[in-house]
Amino acid sequence: MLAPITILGLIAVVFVLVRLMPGDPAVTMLGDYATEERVTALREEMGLDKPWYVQFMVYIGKLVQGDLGESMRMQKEVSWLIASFFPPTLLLAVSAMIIAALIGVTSGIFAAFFQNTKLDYGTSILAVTAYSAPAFWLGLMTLFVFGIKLRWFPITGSGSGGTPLDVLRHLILPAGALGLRQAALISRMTRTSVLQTLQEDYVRTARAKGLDNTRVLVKHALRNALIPIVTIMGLTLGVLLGGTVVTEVVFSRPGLGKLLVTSVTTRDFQTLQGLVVVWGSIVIAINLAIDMVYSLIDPRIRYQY
Amino acid sequence: MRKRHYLRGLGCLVMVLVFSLVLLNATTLAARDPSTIVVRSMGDISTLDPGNVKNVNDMFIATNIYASLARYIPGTSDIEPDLASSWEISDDGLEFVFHLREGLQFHKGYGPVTADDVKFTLDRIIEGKMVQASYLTAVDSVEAIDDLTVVIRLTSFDSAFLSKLAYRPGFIVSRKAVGKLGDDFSLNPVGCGAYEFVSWLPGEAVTLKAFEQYHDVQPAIQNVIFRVVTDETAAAFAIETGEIDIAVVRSRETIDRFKNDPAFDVDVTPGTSIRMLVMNTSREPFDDVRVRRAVAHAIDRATLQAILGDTVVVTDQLFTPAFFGYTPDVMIYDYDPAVARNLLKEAGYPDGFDLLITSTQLAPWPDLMPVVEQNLKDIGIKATVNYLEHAAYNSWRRDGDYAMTVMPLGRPPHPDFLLAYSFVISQYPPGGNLSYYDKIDSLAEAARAETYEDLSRELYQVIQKKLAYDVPVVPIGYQAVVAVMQSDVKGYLPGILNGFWARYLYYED
Repeated sequence: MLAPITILGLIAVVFVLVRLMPGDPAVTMLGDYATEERVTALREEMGLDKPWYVQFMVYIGKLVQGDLGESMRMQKEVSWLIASFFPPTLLLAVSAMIIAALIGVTSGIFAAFFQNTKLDYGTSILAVTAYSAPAFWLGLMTLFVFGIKLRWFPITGSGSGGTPLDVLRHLILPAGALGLRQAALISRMTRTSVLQTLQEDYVRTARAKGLDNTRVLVKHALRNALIPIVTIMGLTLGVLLGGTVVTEVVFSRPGLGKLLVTSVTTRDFQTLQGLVVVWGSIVIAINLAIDMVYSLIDPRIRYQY
Repeated sequence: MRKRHYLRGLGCLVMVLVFSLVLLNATTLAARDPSTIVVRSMGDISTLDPGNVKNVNDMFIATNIYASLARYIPGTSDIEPDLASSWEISDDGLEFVFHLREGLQFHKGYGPVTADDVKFTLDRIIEGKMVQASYLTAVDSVEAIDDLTVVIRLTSFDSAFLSKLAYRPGFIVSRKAVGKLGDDFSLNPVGCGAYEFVSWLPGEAVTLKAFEQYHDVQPAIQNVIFRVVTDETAAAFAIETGEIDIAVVRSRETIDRFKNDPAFDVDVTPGTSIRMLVMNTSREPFDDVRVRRAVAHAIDRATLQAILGDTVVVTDQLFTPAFFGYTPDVMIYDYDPAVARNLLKEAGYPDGFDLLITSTQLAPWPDLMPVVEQNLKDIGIKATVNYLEHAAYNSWRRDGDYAMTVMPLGRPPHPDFLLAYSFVISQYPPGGNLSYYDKIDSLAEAARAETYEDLSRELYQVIQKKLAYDVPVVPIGYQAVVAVMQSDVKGYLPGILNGFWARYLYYED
């Protein structure tokens, strides 16, 4: 119920912010040497001469019909543009998510299980280091070590148009760099969550029944420890989608992140708005999905609406 | 015991991961394909329709797809025949008759290049008010006499007209292709240049292949991939790993990094894109020529050159020798703070004045403005610099409300492009005459309309002297075109203003 209102609010904020930005899209589009008549004519053509609230109503009117407008820079449908740039971003974010979940959950469980041992301390140090590193720095470092010094992986492009193996090779470094920071967060969260559940009464009961450690961990503790982990992973996917902006630039990958940067520097309002609407909707959809997953993990939680 | 068991499991997992990474790596080292060259593109394309091409990324690729009636001889401002084998110009200079070569073909089977396509190309730009229309304001009519003869009539003589036709307004498109493809033409271009368009991967790459029916010498390299690498550091890395064969780069760090490495060649060419300080001659204090001259004397070009390295060729003149009509015989303002202070005193500013300079953030300004700021402080002008993001700067400067600002201006090497945009009254802001300069209108008009070449050249020399005497702007330097390439890439010739010519490139065995 709240979702459409959130999206509408988001659009309104973006719509106004974009127009508050200094820099005229008509001037930017026509280049440095455009004549005043051409600029005025183009502003009229793009509807930029009308008051912002009129522009807003026109935009919303089209949006409810599924029309995101036309890119001023490319003179193509924004929806077509976003659809063209979306697949590599989705692939990157989902791969990073998988890497983050695999590394994060595994290392978190091990750290909890081996609490206060060298393994635990080691994991903690690595996790804090990875999380403290800025995304672009981590990206450049992985690129430098694995791309340049070791030459294990290519460092530009997405390999699209090539074999699936090509795509995979182009994916590992950026997805790794992007996923590593989130892996750190998930790892810390998992460790805490597992440690807490291990202290619950039902775990003690299970142990008292004589169950071995693996059973206690997997069947009793882990499932209950999952709830906060799933929440953090859901939020992570949103962060990862946003994080693709930096990663795509560092690794010269195509995608929505780069489209966003270009739209800002060229003042391509329509594309910028379209991107935020789509991006925002995805994050909201993910949050809805997480709420539903809760009830699968813990049958006590039932969705109320 | 149990715990050790888990640890062993973890160890195995890590081993498997490392092993698969190594396996994957073993398949990566592909040999270089001699029929393909990978060129860095600084950003994704917006359009490849020549009528609307305006940014460097579009122009970089479009120059390989299209051809024009006449073209620039690489590295010069001279024109040679291209699609037209010859042309005649009437005595009054208002009528150009072009004779097309026989057997010219468009890409992808769109048939022969005819006079009608030339007419269509120019009419489409003018009538459709496309981006390039501003170059063709002098065109009165275009008429196809027969398949191979086209007549272009002008309303007034334009000595730069051939230069304009050799630049992007003159890239010939196929009437049939534009008609058939409609809006899709911008991303599926059809020209008659050395390379034909193959594909565009959004945000990633544009691929071209050699056009077998190209009318001139066949390119040595069959396939050209323009790969988008926006970030300069990433581009440097990609050159180092060999993923990019040739790249135009902008930062000094990148240039210095490859300059002394024998595995790479670096080509530095002074471009035709000038960077200048602009003073508003319509208001105090820069309405006084002595103050403007003081600023010109204050700029320490040796320090600027040391800081900017190969990225900018610092200059004390507005035109370079590449320009038509260039003369070195103009007033030069040497670096001399004492003279500058005296001039300020004479002008009634013995203690200098406060000055806010607004600049774009685009390179190389953030590197050079601190020097300018200090130079001005040294003669008593208390300058502070305010930086705006480039799109914001471009809108801001249209108001014309400043005492001093900066101006980057890229134009082909014919003086008319520069003068008609930046130094005539009709171009007062929001136009490009940011200094509100009003002293060369009639001279520029006369130089453009002069049909006798030597006289036109002389008029342009007078204009250069006049501009140097009045100093409405202080020239800082020309942005260099710097290309870094693998050492086996040969034949590189810098393209004209943001262009790139893949057709001259070849690999050394």
